[in-house]
Order: sequence, then structure tokens, then C-alpha cells
Amino acid sequence: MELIAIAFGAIFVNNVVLKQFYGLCPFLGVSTKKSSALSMGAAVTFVITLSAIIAHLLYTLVLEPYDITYLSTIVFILVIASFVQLVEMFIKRFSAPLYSALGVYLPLITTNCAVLGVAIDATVNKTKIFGDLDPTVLHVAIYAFGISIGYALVIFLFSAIREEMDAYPIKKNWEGIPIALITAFIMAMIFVGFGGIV
Amino acid sequence: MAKQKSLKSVFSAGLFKQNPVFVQFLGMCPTLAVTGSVENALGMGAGVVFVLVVANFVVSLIRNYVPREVRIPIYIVIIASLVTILEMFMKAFVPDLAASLGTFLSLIVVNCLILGRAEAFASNNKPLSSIFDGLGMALGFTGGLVLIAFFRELLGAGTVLGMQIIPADYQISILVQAAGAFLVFGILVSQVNKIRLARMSESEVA
Repeated sequence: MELIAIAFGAIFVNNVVLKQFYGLCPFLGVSTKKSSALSMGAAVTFVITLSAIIAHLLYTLVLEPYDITYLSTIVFILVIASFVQLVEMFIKRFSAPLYSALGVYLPLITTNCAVLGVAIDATVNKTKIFGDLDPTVLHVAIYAFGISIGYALVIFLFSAIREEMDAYPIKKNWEGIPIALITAFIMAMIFVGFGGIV
Repeated sequence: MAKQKSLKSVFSAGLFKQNPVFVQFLGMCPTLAVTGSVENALGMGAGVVFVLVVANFVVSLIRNYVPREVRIPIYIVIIASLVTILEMFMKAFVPDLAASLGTFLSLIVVNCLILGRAEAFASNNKPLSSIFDGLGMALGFTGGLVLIAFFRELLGAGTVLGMQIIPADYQISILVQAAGAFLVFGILVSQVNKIRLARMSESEVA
């Protein structure tokens, strides 16, 4: 039950893009086509979930016992950057179709603040998310997976709306980013409605 | 004389023509997340000024000694160290501000503005002009944040820097919530675009 609440909260209530404002650059940049939004969503899901697990293990097994938690920002960004490189090399070596679908998005993910944001939230700022509960690896994994599903869901829905919107004339000064922001505003209003559930 | 002028133009590019918030759309996550109040926007702006100016300076100093293949990891380590210093400083001296900026204080590391300036400007310019570039960009960023925060705080909570201006019955509280950030930023960008389009067509006629 607890795990379901964590997952639901992560996907809808605290939606990573619309509520927490993580990962907006790719959200607005990549979401012009449904296919690229799906690939981005898949790549992000993979990287966020695994890097949050790695960050949690590092934090509880290394940083906390040796009392060097002030180094967590540096450690996490280095681990995430090298992890993304590793994933890229791995996919390139073993799966050509997967690489052609995700390859170009992987380097972009290093600077996606959702990855570092979730890693920090799940460790340094864990009371913000888990309250009094001391999160285990399972809790962190479920939370990170929920967050990334929320990301993939929103970026896909958003790209579908933007594809439709291309067919209609828009005033010149509203084209591109401004109209995308207004669309995101309406989506965010809808997601506010989930707030009462958990 | 020519040198002075170039420094000035480097500095003012970040403020207006290449404004990171409204023209380049760099670092949008903090742009939307910390603009619920003018105070938070100023705090975030001060942090970015420190990190961007020092990072630009350091990157520019070592620009001739860094092998091109590993430059990005090196820049990231420099930026992450500066952000850690900033975090420790803010937690010690302004704990309330640090708490309200929350995770976004650490997320200055992945603010594309800082890595972007290190890569695009500081890595092939002299230290002094890199400092000016960093200062201009960071102040442009701060100005953009404060502008958004001003409208959100004034219309949403009726206050500016905590001073009550609009009575409680006439506030649009959605604007200080998460969703309102998209609306205010979208409207402001459209108006900035309008001015830029008007300027462009003017210069074409002339």
C-alpha cells in the first residue's frame, strides 16, 4: 500500500515536470514529435531509475558512514555523467536498433536536471519525499521509476498536443516557446486536480 | 579604447540581446521553480552570479592547458566544486533562503547557462572578458527571474518582497502555485517576442 502511494504520488501528484519543474529544457525542446518524445521518455526512465538507485547506495554506504555528505553534489554529478557514458557505450555495442532510437538523447540526459534532482531528493532531501520513513533501495527504486513514468507520460501527451497544434495558425509572437508554455500551464492545472487523492 | 568598448558590448549582450531567460531559454528549471517570490529569485540570482563569474574566470585561466577531449568533465568538476562552496556558504549564513531554494541550489550544477558559457565563451577568451561575459549573463538571468517573480508575487500573493500591496480578496493565488509559473513566463515571453519582432522589422525598413 505504501509502495502504491509512493508510485502514484510520484507519477501524478508530484509530477516531475509540471509540479517540480525538473527537466524542462528537453521537455520543451524534444516534445515537438511523438516518436522523439517516446524515445526520450524511455531513455530518461532507464537513466533516472538506475542513477537514483546508485545514488542511494553511494549515499547510505559511503557518504553517510564517512560523514562526507557535503560532497554529494560533486559525487552524484560525476557518477551520473560517467553512468550515462557507460550506458551509451553499452547500447552502442549490443543493440544497434536501440542505439539509433535512444542514442542521440543519451548525452542530453547528463544535463537533464531531473536526473540529478531525483538523485538528490531521494538521498539528501529524503524527508521531503518519504517523510519519517527511512527509505530502502526498494522505496527509492519505486519512487524514481514513478517519477520517470510521470516524465514519459507528460512529455508524450505534450508532444501529441503540439503535433495537433502545428495545423493551426498562431500569432507570430506566440509561436514556439510561449504557446508551449501556455499549453503546459493548462496541463499543470489539470494535474493540480490529482493533489487531493494522496 | 577599442578594448573597452568590446568589454562593454560583451557585458551588455547578456543583459538584453542574448538574455538567457527570455531569448536563449537557458536554465529554465530554476526560472520557473524559484520565481514564486522576489526574494527567492534574488537569492538564486546571487548564487548564479557567483558560480558563473568564478567558473568563467577559472575556465578561461586554464583554457590553454585542458585537452579538448576531456574538457566537459573538467568544467563539470569546476562548476560542481563552486556550487558545493555556495551550498555550504548559504546553509551557514542564510539557512532560510537555502531551505526555500531547496534542491534547486544544488541543481545550479546542471544549469545549462553555466556550462554553456564555459564552453561557448570562456574556453576561448581572455580571463577579463570572460568575467564580464559571466557578469552580464548572470545579471541578465537575475533580471529575468526577478521580472517573472515580481508579477507572480504581486498578482498571486499581493506582496513585493513581503510588503502587502494588493488586499487578500483580489489575489490570483494560482499564479504563486506551480502551474502559474508557466502562464506568467509564457505571457512575458510572448511580449518580449513582440518587441523583438517590431525591432527586427524596423531595422529591415531602415
